[in-house]
Amino acid sequence: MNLVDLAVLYGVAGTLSGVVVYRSRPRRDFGALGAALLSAPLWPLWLPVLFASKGIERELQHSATTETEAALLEGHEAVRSTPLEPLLPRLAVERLLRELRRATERYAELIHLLSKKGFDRAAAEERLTRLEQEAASPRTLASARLHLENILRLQSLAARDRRALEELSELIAALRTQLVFARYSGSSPGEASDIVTEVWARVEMLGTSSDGPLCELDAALLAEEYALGQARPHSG
Amino acid sequence: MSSEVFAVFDELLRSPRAIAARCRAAGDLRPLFVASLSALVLGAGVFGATLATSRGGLQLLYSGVKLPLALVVTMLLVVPAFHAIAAGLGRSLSFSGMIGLTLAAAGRGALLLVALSPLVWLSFDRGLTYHPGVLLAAACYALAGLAALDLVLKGVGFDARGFVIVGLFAGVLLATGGQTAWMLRPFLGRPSAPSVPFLRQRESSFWDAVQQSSLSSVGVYRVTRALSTAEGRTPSPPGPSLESASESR
Repeated sequence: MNLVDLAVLYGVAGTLSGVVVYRSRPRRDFGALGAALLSAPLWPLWLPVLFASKGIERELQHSATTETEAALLEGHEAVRSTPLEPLLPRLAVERLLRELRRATERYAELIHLLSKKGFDRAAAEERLTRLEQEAASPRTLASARLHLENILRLQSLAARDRRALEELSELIAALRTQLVFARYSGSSPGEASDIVTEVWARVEMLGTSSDGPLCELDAALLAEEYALGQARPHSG
Repeated sequence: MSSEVFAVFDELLRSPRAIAARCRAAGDLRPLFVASLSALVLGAGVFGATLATSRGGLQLLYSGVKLPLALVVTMLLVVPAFHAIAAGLGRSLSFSGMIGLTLAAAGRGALLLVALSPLVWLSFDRGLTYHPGVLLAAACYALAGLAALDLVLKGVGFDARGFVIVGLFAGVLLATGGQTAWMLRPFLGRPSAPSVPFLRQRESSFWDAVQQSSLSSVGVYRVTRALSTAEGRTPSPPGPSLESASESR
């Protein structure tokens, strides 16, 4: 086999790759043509990258467990390879999905915690009332109050997270329809751009509430402990 | 994807560490692939055309096409070897990550060649002759190669094992790239050649040329003597003749 034979074989493989890549694309647009044209001369380099990226996309699609995640991915899919893509690029979607998952997991964790016996609000209130009636020591009463307050804080956190996730979910659903509308009507992406800004702001807030309140809670616990310590009679 | 491609362009120049991390993570590498390939084709094309300004005319077009072609063919040939070397030495990236890293390194090198193009152009414009021109081009390739290997090193890990992998890869790259470019000569064009060929006729190999140049540099002109004897002429004394000084490789 000489160099020409090798070049012919390479060319045949490249042409077949190009055809397969073009036919396997869901949309036969400029992007599909570009991918096919890259495949023809550069199939040994381009095909592994293309297939690996497809695999990651499929994984991402399958892992879209909630309706919100699916809406986000659909929104991105609507603008992919169009002039609107900078509004919701792939990297932004990946980051949004990460933040959403983090917030959803945190909310699920909080709900799980609050369903446990030790975090029952009614039981904590009942216990505090009983201790007050029994004229328990101030230290015991302070601990019972702190326990109840912490449960209330956790409940408030869970409620806030639920509200934030619901609002974000609605906003992302609106973003999806807005992007689809902008794509098919060819209208200005102004409104979609506003929604994207709003989504980012909400996600930033989610991030803050994910990082902040638990630290605040720890700080509150420390402060209570300190106050209790101050209230304790000095033994020495 | 276009916005991501431009972002990767920026990263190629400003933050090679981010590019290396991207390749190690082996996420969606399509924007990196397209950006690196574009940088490679544009950068090498501009530099190739700049080299050909010493000759001008059709050589500008030929060199502008052939230099990117030489780099792309080299990439096609060396990536599997790079993957095998890295995997064999226990520093395996995914195959797509390896492709991304190698192409990004080549793209970065090509962008450096673009940066050096004005210097080369100015040198030829100021009357730089063929041989010093070849040396200047070789120095530019060396600089671009170092910038590229630096990115590769960041990708495979900046430690002793990483250095060994990059050293072995550099050896494969030098031999493969050298032979590919050798087959696609001329890039500068011989000043005395009456016409500009797209490809020079096949003669020996890159390794033969390196050997011959090494011997010539110590005053041994083996090929010249053999050719002269075959043609029935008196062998010329050692030292560059007027012809070889102006048009040898």
